[in-house]
Amino acid sequence: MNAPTHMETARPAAEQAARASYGKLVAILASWENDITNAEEALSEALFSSPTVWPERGVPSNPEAWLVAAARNRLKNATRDENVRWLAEQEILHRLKMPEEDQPFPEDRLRLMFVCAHPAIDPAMRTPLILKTVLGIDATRIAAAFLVKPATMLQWLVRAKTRIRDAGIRFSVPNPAFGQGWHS
Amino acid sequence: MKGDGLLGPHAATTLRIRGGKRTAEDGPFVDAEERLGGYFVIEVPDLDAALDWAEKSPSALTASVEVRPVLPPTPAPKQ
Repeated sequence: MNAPTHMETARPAAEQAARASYGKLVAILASWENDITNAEEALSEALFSSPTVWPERGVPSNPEAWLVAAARNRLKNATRDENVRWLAEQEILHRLKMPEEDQPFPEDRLRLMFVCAHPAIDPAMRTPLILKTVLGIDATRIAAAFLVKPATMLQWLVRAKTRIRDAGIRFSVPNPAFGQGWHS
Repeated sequence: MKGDGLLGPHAATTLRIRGGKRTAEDGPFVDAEERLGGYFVIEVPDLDAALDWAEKSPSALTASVEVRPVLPPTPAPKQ
């Protein structure tokens, strides 16, 4: 039997990485710019491109790191137009936070969960947000569980993510002294 | 003199303190009985820090404090 080709191993590897690490990768990408929408878009594009790139070059030894690097490049390209100085600041932050390829990823999912469950987020949206961003569950499936139309749920999720970015919710695990407002 | 644009109501958070308990709510205040009574402009890194300041306002105890981000400065022209 022949050894599996790049073509045969690339797709399962991409799917595996997508399934196992979605929230983890979104958490890392979102924490750079506090923007879940951009992070998810960049990650989708990276996931979308992996079946094209991986069969040619082989599955990277650390698919998660590859996906984060690819998504980061997309985020960078997307913001390039905006402001040179702003970009430079972000780049420094990226480099400070960017995990080396062979090192384990920092665990940012907890932070992302706290952002989604922030007191300033409508309590009804906290669970759908966590399902979508941390677990990567499709908006259609979330909609079914909450008995609303998929388009409605999608719109709620988009609004909630825009709100997180615009209202300036802090991407951090609240410290106990901050505990106020979290008891609801 | 001074003027600032505000980000839309989607970015608003309304804070109240009742019975010593702080509640933050998604959105601007909607109670028809409430009127804008004044404003403060503060510079803080994020919403959480802004809410800590909002909590110090006496009106949080009887009325509410709406927290709204000021519109960010327009980006520099594209090169």
